[in-house]
Amino acid sequence: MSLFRLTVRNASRAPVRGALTVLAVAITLVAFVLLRTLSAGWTDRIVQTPNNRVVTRHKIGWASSLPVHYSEQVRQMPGVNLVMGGTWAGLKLPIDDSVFFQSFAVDAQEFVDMHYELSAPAEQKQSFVSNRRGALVSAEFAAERGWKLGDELQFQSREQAGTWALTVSAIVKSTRVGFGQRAVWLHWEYFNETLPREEQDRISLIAAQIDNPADGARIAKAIDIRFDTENDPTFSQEDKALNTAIVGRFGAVLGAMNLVSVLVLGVVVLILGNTVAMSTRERVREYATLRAMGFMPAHLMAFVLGESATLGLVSGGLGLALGYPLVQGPLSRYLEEEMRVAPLRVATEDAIGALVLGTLLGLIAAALPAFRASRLEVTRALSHVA
Amino acid sequence: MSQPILGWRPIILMPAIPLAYTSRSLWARRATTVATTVGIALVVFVLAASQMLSNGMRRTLLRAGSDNRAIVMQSDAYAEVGSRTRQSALSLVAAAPGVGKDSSGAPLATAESLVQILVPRLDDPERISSVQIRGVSENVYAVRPEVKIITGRAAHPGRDEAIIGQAIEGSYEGMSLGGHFTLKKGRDIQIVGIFSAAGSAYESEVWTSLDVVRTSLGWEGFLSSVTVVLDSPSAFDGFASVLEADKSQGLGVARERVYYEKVSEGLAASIAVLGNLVTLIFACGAMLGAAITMNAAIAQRRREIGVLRALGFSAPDVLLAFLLESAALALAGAVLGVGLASLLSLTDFSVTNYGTGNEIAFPFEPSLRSLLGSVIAGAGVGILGGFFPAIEAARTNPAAAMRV
Repeated sequence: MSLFRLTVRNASRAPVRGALTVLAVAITLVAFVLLRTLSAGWTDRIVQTPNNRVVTRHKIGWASSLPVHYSEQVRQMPGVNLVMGGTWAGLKLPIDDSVFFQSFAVDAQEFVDMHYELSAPAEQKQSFVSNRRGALVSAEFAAERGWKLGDELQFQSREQAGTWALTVSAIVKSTRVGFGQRAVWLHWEYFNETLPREEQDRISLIAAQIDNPADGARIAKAIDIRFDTENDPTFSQEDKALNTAIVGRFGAVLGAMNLVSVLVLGVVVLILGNTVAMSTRERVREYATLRAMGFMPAHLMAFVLGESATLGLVSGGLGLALGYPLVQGPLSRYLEEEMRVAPLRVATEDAIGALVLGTLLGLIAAALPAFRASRLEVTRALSHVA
Repeated sequence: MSQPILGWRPIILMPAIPLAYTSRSLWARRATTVATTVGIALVVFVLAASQMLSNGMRRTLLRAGSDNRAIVMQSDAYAEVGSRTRQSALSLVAAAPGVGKDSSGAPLATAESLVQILVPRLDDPERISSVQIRGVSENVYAVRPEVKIITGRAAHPGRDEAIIGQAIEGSYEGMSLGGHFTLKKGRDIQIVGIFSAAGSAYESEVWTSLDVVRTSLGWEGFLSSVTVVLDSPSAFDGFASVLEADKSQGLGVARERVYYEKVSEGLAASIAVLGNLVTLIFACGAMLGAAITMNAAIAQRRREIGVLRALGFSAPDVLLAFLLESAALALAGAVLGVGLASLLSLTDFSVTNYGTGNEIAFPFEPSLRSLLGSVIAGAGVGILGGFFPAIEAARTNPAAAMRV
């Protein structure tokens, strides 16, 4: 009989206990997959940020703005091939100011050229660029408000007096996690000309596309040095570094999730270890008999380890079978509503990880019982009463 | 051994099978007992920790809010930091009915201007955080009497000086006594004191005078918000209706507590939702773990149970003995888990509050309710897990069991 068949048979000798163990470990592994998927959703934000952009803002913070001519100067810096200026527009709907969404006034042509992660048919993008009162709207937000291409909309701003009439020129779908899911973009020139004179010609950020991603940090520094002596000094960062910092602000939450996912694994080891310890305790006489028949300590070790690994593997499989639909289905919808996170997608590595981990944890859990079984004193064990 | 009595009696009050039987049974299977207990302890730890954290978040933000105070800001702004009203709002607010007066008869109102600045954290200079700067009026200490200077002195209103809350002291570049920061190039603002504010979110802020903020940023003539002390909490309705009646001013009024409830709900609810969800899944696992333990314990002890039944202990007696055993396991685990979680109250949890956008240091705050709730949940998990195996034990046929 092969070792594998033997371990499977051993594992199913106490069917109720075996089934309970597999179910318990599987359910616990669902928690693990959920936590990993949630925290991966955050790191995706960093991974998916293009690495060829440098973002410049006022050194003090987002509340202060920069003169619009800065973007022209950044454009002339070596290594930079495309520059876009923009400002927060603070738009709101005149009919209901309790609806919050992001809104940016941008250099339209440059914005569209740079942000390939916003996907829409080319003619829609072109129509946004050529219509100075055009608007680019996130697909999710357009769907929520029931807006269609060509709709004419009125907006006001939370920060400035004035009314802006915009036509929905393009509906864009963002392919990047955490970017542009609930936003409206409009032409900076049109936004700017409506503002009071003393508020005009200011932008709150400059995004520069660079030739070589490896130059990002150097170019960011060069931009800051260039403006250091001006009234409005700047703070530039690679877009990736900026997003890393944003994720870092919630780092404590991510750290806690990772800690809990380790605790989850600890619980798996305890459950598996408990079951294996019980099985070996019951089989002391059987092991002694096997030893007396000539089986080596290594054989017994392999039996115990194999049984636990089998339980772990089966649990991992069941955990995955339960976890995939649960995490991507109801849990994802629930968390999207309650926490406004992006839809959850279980990564292949996490799925495979759950299987490998199940097996591995089975081995870890069985280490001590296996060691004990191999050290059995045959004569004493034969007279053991379970 | 106590006298077996035939028939039903109030078994909960007086177990017929002595407690020593239960405790010795647990001791005889130490390894299994410890594994099950630790498993339940971990579940209870996660539950209690997430409850303590979301409790700490709500309390920190809500402590900043008082029923007795009202906050006036731009009607369509979400939070103070994005709000902008004209200077004239101050005189309107001060003249509104229901505003408290100090001993000299001056209205208890502070006009404030808020801005968030970027500062690197000292423990991780790559991580640029937003710290909230609040430009306050001179009488702010009368409006918010919970604020006390604990080190150094108050900032002089006419100078470029500031005080910082004790929760952020030493966490960010320049944020310590004698340090400085800038709102405008070439104009350093010195930190001359550290304040406490009864554990509220103000302790994660920097306070300087209103005009330091406004002249640095070119915001002369504008305010973010006005906070007033009301004569009594019931004066709010009259106060709000007068200010909100004039739509042209665009002012919105909220009780301070309601405002802080609004800006804290997102983060605290997220933590609670996530914590509960993970605990729920986790608890199912631990419950099955307890069931496995009891199931095995009972399978091993079939003969023993048979003897007990033959001695005259009734089925309910046996059921109770095994339920007590699993309850003892679970209770020990739950107490251990809550004990571990309580140690977290020695640490802080710094995270950006998405309602207001600035970083706030939150404590893990145990409340009697959440701790007791966690213990009960943990014990419940164990009892539920042990229930079916215990029923199986109670149904043991003594004659059959002893023949094994």
